Amino acid sequence: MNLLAAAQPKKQSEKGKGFLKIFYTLDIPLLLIVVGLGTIGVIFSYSSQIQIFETGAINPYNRYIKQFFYLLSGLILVWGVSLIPYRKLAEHSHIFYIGILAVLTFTLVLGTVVNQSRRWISLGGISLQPSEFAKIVIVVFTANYLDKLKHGMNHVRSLFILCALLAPVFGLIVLQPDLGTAIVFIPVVMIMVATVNIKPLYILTLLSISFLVLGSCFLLAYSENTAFANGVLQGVNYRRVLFFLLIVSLLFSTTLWIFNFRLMNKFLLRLSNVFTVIAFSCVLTYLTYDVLLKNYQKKRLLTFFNPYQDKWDLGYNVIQSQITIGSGKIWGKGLFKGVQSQLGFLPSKSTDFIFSIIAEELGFVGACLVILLIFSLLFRLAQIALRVKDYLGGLMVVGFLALFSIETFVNMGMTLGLVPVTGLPLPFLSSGGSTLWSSLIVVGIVSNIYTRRYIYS
Amino acid sequence: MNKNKITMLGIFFLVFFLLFAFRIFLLVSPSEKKQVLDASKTEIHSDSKDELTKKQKKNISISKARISLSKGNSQFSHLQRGSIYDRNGKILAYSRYAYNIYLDTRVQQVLNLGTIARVSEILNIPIEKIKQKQKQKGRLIFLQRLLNEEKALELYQLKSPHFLLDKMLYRHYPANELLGQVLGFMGHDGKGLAGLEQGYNNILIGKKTSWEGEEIHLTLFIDKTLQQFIEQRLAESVKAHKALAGTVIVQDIHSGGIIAMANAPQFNLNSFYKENPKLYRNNAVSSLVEPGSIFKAFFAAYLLEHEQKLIQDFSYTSKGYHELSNGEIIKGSCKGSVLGLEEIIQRSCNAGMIALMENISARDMYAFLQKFSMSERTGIDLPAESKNIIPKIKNWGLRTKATLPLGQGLALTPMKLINTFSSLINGGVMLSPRIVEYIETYKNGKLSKRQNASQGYTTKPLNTGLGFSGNISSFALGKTSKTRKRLIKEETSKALIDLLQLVVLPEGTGKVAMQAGYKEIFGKTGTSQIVDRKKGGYHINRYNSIFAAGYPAANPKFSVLVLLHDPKKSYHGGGAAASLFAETLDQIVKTFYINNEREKKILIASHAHPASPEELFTNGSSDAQKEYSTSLENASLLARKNKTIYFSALDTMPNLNTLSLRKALQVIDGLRHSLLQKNIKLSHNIQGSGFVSNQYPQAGQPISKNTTIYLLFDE
Repeated sequence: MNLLAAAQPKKQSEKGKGFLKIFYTLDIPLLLIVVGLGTIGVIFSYSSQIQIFETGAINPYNRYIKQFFYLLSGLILVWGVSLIPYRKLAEHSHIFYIGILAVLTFTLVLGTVVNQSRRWISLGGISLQPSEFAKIVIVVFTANYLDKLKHGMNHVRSLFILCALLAPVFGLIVLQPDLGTAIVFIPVVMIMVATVNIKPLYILTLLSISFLVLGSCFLLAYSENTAFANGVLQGVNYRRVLFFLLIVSLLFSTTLWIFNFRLMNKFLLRLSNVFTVIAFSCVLTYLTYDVLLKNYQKKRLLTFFNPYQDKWDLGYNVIQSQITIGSGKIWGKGLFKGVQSQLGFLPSKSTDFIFSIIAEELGFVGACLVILLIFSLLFRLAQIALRVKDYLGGLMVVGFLALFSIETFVNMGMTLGLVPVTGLPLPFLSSGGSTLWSSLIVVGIVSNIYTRRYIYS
Repeated sequence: MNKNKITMLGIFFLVFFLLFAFRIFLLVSPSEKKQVLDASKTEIHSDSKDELTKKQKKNISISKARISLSKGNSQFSHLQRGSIYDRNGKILAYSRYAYNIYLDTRVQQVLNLGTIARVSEILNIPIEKIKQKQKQKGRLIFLQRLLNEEKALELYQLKSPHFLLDKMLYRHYPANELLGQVLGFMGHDGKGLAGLEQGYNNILIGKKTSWEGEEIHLTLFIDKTLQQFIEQRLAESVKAHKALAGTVIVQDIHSGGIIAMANAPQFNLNSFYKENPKLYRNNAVSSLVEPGSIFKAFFAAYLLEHEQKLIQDFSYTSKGYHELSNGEIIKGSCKGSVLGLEEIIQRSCNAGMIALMENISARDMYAFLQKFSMSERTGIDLPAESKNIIPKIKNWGLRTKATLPLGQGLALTPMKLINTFSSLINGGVMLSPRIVEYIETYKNGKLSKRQNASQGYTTKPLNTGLGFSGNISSFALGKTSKTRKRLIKEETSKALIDLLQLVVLPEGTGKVAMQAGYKEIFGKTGTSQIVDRKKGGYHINRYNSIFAAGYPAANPKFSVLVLLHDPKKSYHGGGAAASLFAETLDQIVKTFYINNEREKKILIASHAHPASPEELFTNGSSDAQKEYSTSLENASLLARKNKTIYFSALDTMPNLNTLSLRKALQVIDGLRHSLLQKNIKLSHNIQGSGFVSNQYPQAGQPISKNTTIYLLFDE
């Protein structure tokens, strides 16, 4: 292992003795946090499976054993991945990328159907979710791409190329359909691009477009599904307003742009660009709302504002989740004694809503501790990102940090009723092999980057 | 620089941490605003709280949660379902509150005998039965459903933890069997499962967002009084003639509105789940029958329209059968004498009709059928309408062509048959039949919207799995009177009516129809053989007795179809069906005063109360009854002259004769319910025991304010 020898920092080799030498590539604080979170995940995957029936019988189950196995094998995976130099990974990212494309296509054609979507492929007893691993590939691939642009992202062209390169993966995951996972890519890539030496104007444009699109989607959903109770907004057709806006902004932008030929006024050009952005986001809103979003997703946007409007259907899980969290009170009901989950009120409790069970059984205090633990993980990642001197490594860590933090915020926000319901898992805590493995692979890559921070710089 | 960044990141994460923690804290701290179904929050009976183990606590919370769940559900779906009215504003269907009672067997407290006795008193259940139920397996035992509010309140005041009340809205049909197949019924999930309840389900539910203070009223063309009479007479007639089923449809031939649609046998809507599901089927729109000789009128219209010359020249001597050109022989009913079209129709002569139609080409006949879109559905706003069967012209043989004018080889729904008949006699324009006249939306008790019914009807395919299936075609839906298609000339229509008047003359097949004494009747009888579905061909001795008629001939307003399925006695169209028609027509004329052009109004001479009921009972003689009825007639005539005393229609007295005490009281109860809407109070007085032998007021007579119904029973 020549590579290993080369990668071996002197300080570490002096520290490590005997057998423990082979573990020098691991970052101990990160690993401790991860093991802690994983253990909590296993414990609550056990808790989530306790079910009390009317007869008082208890559900026989073995899923937590599976989860435990996933954790153990995942920890070995961490070590294994941490041995591979991340630069090699990045250099061959295009191979991974093509590979994941193939696997995603395969999933779409021959995957197992669960809840009307093809997200899984089963390999002899174990079923894998390729979209979870696609997240890693996307981050590594984007980091490599941005690293190759030595001078930073100063041309719109390179941004478009990046978008075009990532579009197939995005499309394949949307087609599964798994909009939640697909949409996470957008902020992750945007944050990664933002770290690169880029014109602030671009970031501003991207941000404003995404906010405009999101906001008008909300408005459209709101205006179409509920009658405005009273006031000025009563009976406004937002589709028409958007169309009007589109026409007007197109008109303004073209006029200003033509005027600009004569006057060569920078302010006018900026103004023209602003209108172009508005027009672009109008079109994008139409596309998102009418093509991408399905009916139930639109309704979900709405129920986010008022879950009680549809409390037996779409608002049900949010309401139940909030009740579950609230019923935990300050000190909780005690481990394995959560009534809400055991009586079957809380849906998908082992995956999406595991945090609710934690809060119910451990209470306010326990939930805060768990949040602190997750945030310490994120903080450690951020610390690593800042300490790494290599551009590529830094980018990758930033990508992973963005991935984890968005997943965490969205999932927790969802259980707390702060964010609309999406199917994103909580890293390390939600049950499921693919999620845990992909998260642990990320940990492996990150610790690899951290141990090699002095080598490539 | 690095340090700064790290502190910034730390602050960033801290902010998020605080946000989440604050949110959790908000959820944890109790607030009164949230109306939640918290399983853990539900109160356990305070005295026994400490004795319970944790497992029992959980169990209790299950049951509580389940009850509140079901409560929530039923409120959710049944709330404000619109009510249905007849053309005079009499209520036919509405929702009301009721309670289901459960017995909770796992409450730790001892259920003492006093409580049981009280409950058995309230619910009218023997004490032993409650004790038995207490020993049953399972947690919640159903004691009684649909308890009224007063009784539920009494139960509630016992404050016993053993008895749980579940409040729910349910559908009530005050007239029980009336209009059963047409109105349909509602399932426990709040969805209409048959009839209008199904077809207008979306309308009746109303919009979820605008529930509060909004009420939907469906107003039908149906006249409840007339319907009530017809259903009663139909049921009697079906019984008397030993028929399997019967259908009567009364249609307004100008608007297309269905004024009465009766089916026998009937079923009780308020307990539909106890009845045989086969009875749910609305034969008037779902069953297919061969029209038989009635179809002669249809082709007579063709001849009158296109072949005037042929009719004038035509004469035919019947041998009792007719031989087709390929040697096949078709039996005819009439023999001898020279026949023209008049006699063919009057005596319903098969051989003559075939001979006459041999001059017409198959193509022309088919074109005429197509013009009336015979194979299409009528598009009436009722679910499960069947498609009519007309053989395609490429499949016509010589025999098909010959027998089609006799009404054989094709099958129509009774609705299609009467609708076609109506469009023949209304001056020759196409009709789209309707049962719902308009839909009204009331907001806070005020009329806010009135909408034409055709706009609200579901047009998507229905398949409820209850034996109803079929498409509701959008044919003729939404067509207004402005765009009506002309089918035959007005003169032809008039000529046809003149022709059909011959049928009810003493020489004609439908002379029985003249029993009622109205001279302006015109119609056509039909006796169609019933198709043997197993063997093919026709049953030997089974017939449908059909009579289609209109009234009055000078200016027709109504068409009536009477159909008796497989009567064993007097199966000819001129027999069973025509006599039922005579009675029906009598009631129609009384209800609508057709000659006086004063529709929708019933005259009541409230000041004229002739023979007192006491007199009626003591004498029990027919003289007193006669006196009563004649004086009432005089009074109404007087009122008609003075044009002063008009009241909107009130309910009329049903015929209670030969009913048992229980059944009679049930009918009176139904009447009372529907009259309560108009602030009319009924009381009743009963003498004797056994079955009703005499009653006051007499059947068919109106009920005015504060009427007392006197019933005399006899063994």
